[in-house]
Amino acid sequence: MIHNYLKLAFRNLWKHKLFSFINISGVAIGLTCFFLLALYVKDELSYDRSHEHADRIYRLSRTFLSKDGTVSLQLGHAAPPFGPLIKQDFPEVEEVVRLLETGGLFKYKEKAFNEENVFVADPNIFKVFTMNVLAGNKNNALDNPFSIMFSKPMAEKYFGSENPIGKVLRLDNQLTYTVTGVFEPLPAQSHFHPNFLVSFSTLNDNRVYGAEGLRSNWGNNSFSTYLLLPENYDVSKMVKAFPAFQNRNIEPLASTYSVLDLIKLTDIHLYSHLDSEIEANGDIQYVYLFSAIAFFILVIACINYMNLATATSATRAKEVGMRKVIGAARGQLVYQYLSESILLVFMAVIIAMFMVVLCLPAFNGFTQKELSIDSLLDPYFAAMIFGIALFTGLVAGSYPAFFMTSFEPIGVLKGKIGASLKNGMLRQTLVVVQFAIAVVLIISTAVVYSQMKYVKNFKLGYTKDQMVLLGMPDDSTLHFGGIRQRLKENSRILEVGRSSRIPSSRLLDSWDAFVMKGDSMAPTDITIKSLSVDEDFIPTYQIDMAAGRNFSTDFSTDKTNAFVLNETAVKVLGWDNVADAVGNRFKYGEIDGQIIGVTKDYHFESLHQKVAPIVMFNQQGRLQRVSVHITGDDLAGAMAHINEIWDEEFPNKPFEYEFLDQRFGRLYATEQTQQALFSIFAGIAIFISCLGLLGLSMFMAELRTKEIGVRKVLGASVGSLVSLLSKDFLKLVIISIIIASPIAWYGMQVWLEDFAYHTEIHWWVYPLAGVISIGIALVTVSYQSIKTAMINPVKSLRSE
Amino acid sequence: MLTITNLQKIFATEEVETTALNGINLTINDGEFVAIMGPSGCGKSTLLNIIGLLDNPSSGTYNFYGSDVEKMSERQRAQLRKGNVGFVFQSFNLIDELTVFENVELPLLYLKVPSKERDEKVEATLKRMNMMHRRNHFPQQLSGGQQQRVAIARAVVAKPKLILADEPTGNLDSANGKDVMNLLQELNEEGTTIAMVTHSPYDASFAHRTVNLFDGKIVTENFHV
Repeated sequence: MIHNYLKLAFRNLWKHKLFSFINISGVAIGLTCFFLLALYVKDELSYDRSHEHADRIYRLSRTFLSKDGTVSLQLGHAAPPFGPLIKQDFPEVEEVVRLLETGGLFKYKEKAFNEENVFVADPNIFKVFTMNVLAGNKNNALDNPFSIMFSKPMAEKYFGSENPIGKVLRLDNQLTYTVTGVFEPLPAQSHFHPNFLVSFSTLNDNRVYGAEGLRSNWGNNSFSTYLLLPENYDVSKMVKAFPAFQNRNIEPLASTYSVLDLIKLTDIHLYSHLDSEIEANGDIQYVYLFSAIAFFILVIACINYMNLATATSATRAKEVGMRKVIGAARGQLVYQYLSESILLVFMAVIIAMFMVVLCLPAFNGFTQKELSIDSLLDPYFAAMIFGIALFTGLVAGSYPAFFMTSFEPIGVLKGKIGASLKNGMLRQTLVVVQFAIAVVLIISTAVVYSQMKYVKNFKLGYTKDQMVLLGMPDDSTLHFGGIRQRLKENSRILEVGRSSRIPSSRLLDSWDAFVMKGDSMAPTDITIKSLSVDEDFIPTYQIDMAAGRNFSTDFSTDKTNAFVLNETAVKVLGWDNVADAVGNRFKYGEIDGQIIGVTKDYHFESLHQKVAPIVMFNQQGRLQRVSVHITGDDLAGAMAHINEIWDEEFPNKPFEYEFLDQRFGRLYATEQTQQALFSIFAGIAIFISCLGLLGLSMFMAELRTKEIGVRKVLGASVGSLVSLLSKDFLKLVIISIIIASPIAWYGMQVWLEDFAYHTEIHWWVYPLAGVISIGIALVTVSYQSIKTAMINPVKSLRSE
Repeated sequence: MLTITNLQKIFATEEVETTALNGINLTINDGEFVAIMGPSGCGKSTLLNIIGLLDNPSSGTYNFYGSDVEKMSERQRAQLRKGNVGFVFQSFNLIDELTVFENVELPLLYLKVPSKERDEKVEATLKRMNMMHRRNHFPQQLSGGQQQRVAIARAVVAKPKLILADEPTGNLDSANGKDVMNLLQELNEEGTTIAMVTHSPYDASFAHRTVNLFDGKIVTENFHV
């Protein structure tokens, strides 16, 4: 019997080639999107799961509270003493491993590269994380100081085909390290990607960090600390014991300002968005968002199938009737139509697979992923595809199946079915749902676009264009004056300023601030972020002063005891008028001095963050970041000049630089990707919806051929007929706009709240989305309407 | 034997009620060939549909070979119809996407007849209808007369007790029409009961008995000898 059904299904598909094409391509496009997004979601969900103990590994995080109890800083890292102390105070913890991310100039023979993703790691790292060691002994490779392990690609980069074990290389031209092993890199789906592992005992050396610092430096929270816990361990119990643990080990009341917490390894990528993370993480919200988009596109494609199938049912009604007369039970007919739709969906699946393969490189391009086709062949994924195809076939086929088989056999054979098809309430509802989804996507695209434009044009309060960023070796701070002088000799260099951090990065450092209360200095409850700058930083970035003056070489105390605040800092410290702050005594950490000026607020961090209170002061030794403001007219010349001086000043350091506007772009990379994805999927949603609309309008026109003929005979013009045929569809599209607008408004409001500074959702977005969708729908429908309206009435009447 | 007693059929829409059949009493004996005649709209087809178990009467009783069927659900009627009743329509109602062979095979599929037996039966029937050479053609490729022969083949392939024909020659020219009538007569002579709705006195002359309907009532019955 199934053989008979399939044969008939194929013949039907072939007979209605155009509709089959519309139908299959709609479903195939929908499935392609669905599969691509499923690959993306699967990838996001698979982070850090390659480790054997993945479900027992937890990362320690540390939160600092302001005196008023509000969170001032949340770190995914902790101070170095925590690890060993936790192991000591909680004996049930099986292993504790600490990682310190660093980088530097690696030199082996004539090969020299600045390297990142260098992790100093406790020797038991391989007991916690499952990593494949290809050479060397994983049990002791990281035991001795100045041992280093290379990832396989890095070993090939430095040593080619030579055996890396035992090779000696220099780091930062100071210390020598011996290669003790080679490991296979962690998969892309990992929250950290070490290229090198350095033995933790190296840090005991005073030239590197010092054993004392490891024991007692509670302020240097840059160690990622991971715990391997026993099976079925109650993590909340340990977290509850952390306050007492801190008060015991750091100082009494330490728990009032420092909070420790644990997060499961496998949750880090999607749920952890702290102020410090090893790499930028993903976000579970996007997983939800993309899942939702994937689902909705599939829904749109299913609706297409349902609508076209019910519309075409008019032509197949006779078949249903006849089968019933002959003795087919309804169940058998339902089965027949379901197997037909499943067949169609499976054909679409095959096409979709090819399309996925074709689209994957481009998709990888803007999702910054390395998704591979192999995942499609993974048995679980293949089973999922099969399941989805079956499910889609069932869902898409169910309505036509039950609808068609409900026909009374006699009525059908007498041709009474056409009329009832014209006003299918359900079909109209489905078209509305379809277009509503498309309109939501259009509005979302418009809002994301306008927010990105807003960000681009936002007055940041500083200059971000033509800014070259250099990283100074620490030893250069003392003779920087000379370097600066030489750089400025070239007319293409406008200004050169130094700072501890550069705009577009986070401000993470803060000390206690004190102001005069009555006649003595009193500590404030306010967290003020610190930024070390030299006297040229403010002019380089063209930051405006609101009151007072910038640092100056004319005042010797400016290098030691002077502060410049931003407006927000002045406000939170309690001065109503910025000028009032100037001249006051101010103490920050151990530095006691005077406020000499106030800058206008500028958006140092991304627009996701509100402007923080900032105190700027000149602290030698922390000014490693150099910003060079150049004229835009001769980029190559300016860069050549900087390069030349760099090579002369630092002959052992490769010349590396970046542009601020590139960094700035990266701040919103996620949103840019979203914008691209939104526009693409909105486009696809509209396209599939229109395919459906096209098919529907063709059928409606066919059903109304006689009516059109009669109207023409009675004198109707082509124009009036076109509007007659198009009107019904437009009504549906307008209803869908009305339904979609509030949904889109709410969704985008939530999205925008993630930005501390965001655009409003302009009123014109709605009419714009409306005009776009109506326009597209009109073009789609009118093609058929005009065609039908132009037919010679004699023809259309005869056809009945 | 089919026995219809005091049968009524009323079609009700929201605004009007139409009495299509009103107090019909009719018995059709096994092996009989009955023609039903009457002007358009007198209820001929409605009666035929009820006889063929495609529809239920509004009131009255109908005994179909020993079963009371007037209250049966569509599902039960479908079950009973299957294999027991064959239909021939004026407009043939062949399924366009199926070949001649497949159209004729369809009732056997729903009766779950094994494949080999199916082939034999379909071939035998097609031979009998002289349509074997067209077995792989699609309905659109056949003439009207040929299509009706296929429809008759489909109606008889499962060897039903009863064949119902609704103006079987209505869409055919006289030569083809005569052909179809001869086929029906042959089937009847082999023992199949036939009830046929027709406008044509010539067609009716093939029957043993003609029932004349007017405004939903049987007005006369003529017996042919």
